[in-house]
Amino acid sequence: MPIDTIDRWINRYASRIRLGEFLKRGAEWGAAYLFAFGATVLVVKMLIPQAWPHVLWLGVGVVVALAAAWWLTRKPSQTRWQSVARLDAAINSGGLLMTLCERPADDWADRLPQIERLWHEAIPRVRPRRFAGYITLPLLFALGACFVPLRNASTAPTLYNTVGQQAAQELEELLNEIEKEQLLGEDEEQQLKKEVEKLTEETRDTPLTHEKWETVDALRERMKVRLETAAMSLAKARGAAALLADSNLSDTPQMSLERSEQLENDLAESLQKMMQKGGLAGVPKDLKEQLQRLMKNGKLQMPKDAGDRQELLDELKEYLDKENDKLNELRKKCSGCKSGQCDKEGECEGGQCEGNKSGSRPGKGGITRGRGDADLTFGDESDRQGAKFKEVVLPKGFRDQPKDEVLGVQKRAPDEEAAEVAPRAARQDVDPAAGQATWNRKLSPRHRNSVRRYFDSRETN
Amino acid sequence: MLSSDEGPPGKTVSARVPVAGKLLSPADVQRARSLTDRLLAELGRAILGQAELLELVAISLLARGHLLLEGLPGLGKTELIKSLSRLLGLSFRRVQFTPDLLPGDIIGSPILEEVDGRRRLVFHTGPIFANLVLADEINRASPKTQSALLEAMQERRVTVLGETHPLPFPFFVLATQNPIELEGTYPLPEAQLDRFTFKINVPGVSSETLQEIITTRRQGEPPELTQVLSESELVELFDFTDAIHLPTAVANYIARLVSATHPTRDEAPDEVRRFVKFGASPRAAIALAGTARAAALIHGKPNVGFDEVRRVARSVLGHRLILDYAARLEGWDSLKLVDRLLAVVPDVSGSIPEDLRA
Repeated sequence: MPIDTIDRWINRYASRIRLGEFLKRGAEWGAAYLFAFGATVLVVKMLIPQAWPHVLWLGVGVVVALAAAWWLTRKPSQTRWQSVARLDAAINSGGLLMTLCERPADDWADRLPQIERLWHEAIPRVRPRRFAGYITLPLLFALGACFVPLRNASTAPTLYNTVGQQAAQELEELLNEIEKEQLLGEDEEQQLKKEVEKLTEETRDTPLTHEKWETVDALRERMKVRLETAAMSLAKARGAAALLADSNLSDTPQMSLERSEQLENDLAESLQKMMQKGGLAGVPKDLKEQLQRLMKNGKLQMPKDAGDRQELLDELKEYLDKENDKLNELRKKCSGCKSGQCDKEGECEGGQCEGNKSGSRPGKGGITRGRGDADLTFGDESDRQGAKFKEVVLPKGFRDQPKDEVLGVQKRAPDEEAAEVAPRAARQDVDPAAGQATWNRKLSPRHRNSVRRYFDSRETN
Repeated sequence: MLSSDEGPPGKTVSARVPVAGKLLSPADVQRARSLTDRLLAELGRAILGQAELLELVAISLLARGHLLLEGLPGLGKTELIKSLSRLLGLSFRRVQFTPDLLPGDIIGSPILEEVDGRRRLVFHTGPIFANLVLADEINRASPKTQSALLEAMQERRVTVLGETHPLPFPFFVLATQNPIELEGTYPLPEAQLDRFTFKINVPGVSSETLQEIITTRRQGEPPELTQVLSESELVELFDFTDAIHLPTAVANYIARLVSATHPTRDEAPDEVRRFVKFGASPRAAIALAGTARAAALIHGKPNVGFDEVRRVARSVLGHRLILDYAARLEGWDSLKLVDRLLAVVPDVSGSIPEDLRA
């Protein structure tokens, strides 16, 4: 076999070894690059989706990585004599090939195997199983990352502390309404204003804490108390005005003089209080002048003429009814009964959603974890041993008070409704919405947390 | 006790300088093979059923190495060496080593003589001044006497009273030792062992061989042997051996093999780390290369291959590994360790990439 033919086979063998080294290095580099590329694509898709189409250009880098791997295999890790030794062993020439490469001798070259197939079989086959094993997973990862849906970028600015700000804003609006109706004294109004401003300031940058929630609650209750007081005065005045107006009518029984005088005093007292707080600012001018004229020394001097008297009382009654409507509206707002909490408009009564039937919906149970009208069955007391819930004394909840709202003041006996006097279980037959007040009862945040902790199975178990 | 045969006294044959940088021609290799075949055939006639042993002896001879034969009495060790001397036509001396043997008994000593009316010290050469020296039962002599061979084996000369006397060329020490009856013996020191190119265990013979011996040998007498290689032919064989090419990859293999015998080297296998105290010296690598060349020549090759190295590795490395006591406890001996080394050290360093398979 000619020496140049031997050289050609050796070169072929060395090239094959170089290819193997390229596959080895290329697999490692390519896998690393594909993993990095996939991770980059994922990060871009999740965090900077605007850069999505452009990041695909990074995929070209894998070609660069493979080119670099090929470039580095120019200098193979094995020397030529190592390749020759391997080829020598493969053709089983007993070291003659190595010898001829170092000391060429034509007379010995003929002793090498002459069959080309033998040489061909000595060249190692390329079976890139390792290459495929290395590349497959990173390639799938990179492709998978490319097909991950793009996250929708929101252009709306992120809002923080919106709940607190909203609560403070509601309080501010309520205060403005109350201010408009002139239901507060000047000092109290300033004080409330200051506190609401402070709360607004605090909730602007810091998250809402339970202390702030309680502040919100306290302010709202304070306003509510003022509204209730005003409502009571107004109701008293309305009642007195209505009775006085009714007594002038010819078809009603004659009222005693003492009773009439008492009613006039009640009316005068109520009007006096309203005047002191500026509550008569919305009174028509004629009526206002008339009232100021009639009210001397804290007493109401009603006109002697029956016609004038009736006219005044009617005007006053009309005015007080209007004021009552306004006040009721304010009370609704103050009780936190907002749109969205009740199913329909007008269902808010005294801060509770009265008309809806949400109590029958699953998951809408109140603090009793059942319908308000459900039977209560008491068994033995639970063993407190091992209970992790630590009992804490909570401040008296504003909403724990029984219904103490003044619905109206009247001299006659209250009208009894069959539904109210009937036993609880039977009441629902008459009024399906019965028990909704308890059902929809709301707890202050701190109480709510306590209840949640008490029933939290993860802590108690 | 000293004895000598009837052969000629020590003589020196001239050594030819091997042709450097040129590969042996097929004709040269063929001629060398015919010479070695002739030698081996005659040796095989004298020593029956020990073909492998005879080949190793011939390899050691061509590599100009000293030989230590270990085996039970009566296996033909001494007869083998005597036969070799007859076949090569070289001077032969036999020295029976005993505890009272002195260095001077081997090397020779200056004796006061009167020459031409004047008295002067005249050096009388000992039995070491021969081409083939048989040191029979070498481990029975004291270390002092054993060490007398050191300079002779390595430098091929002796120095007495500051006067250096060259030994004849070629010079071989062929020693025997008995692995039993070790009482009153002196094991050869490592430095001495290292100077023996080969240590060969002489195995017992098969029943067929025994039958042949008792049917063809009357009184156990060996057949009459005549010289089969002339002095010039022997020197020619030495030249041919030197001209055998040692490829770089094979030299690298020898180097890695010897290096792997050292427990502190990275390439040493776990067994070597555990059981070997001291590995083989560079002299072992030289001996491996030389004897592998001789083995290649005997097999009719112009070059050394990995197979030739493996062929001689056990005989070259076996006596050069100094084992730890743990080896004996675990049942490892030096030959087993050499086999392990041959199994784990790859012919070519490095490996082909995994994506390529032949």
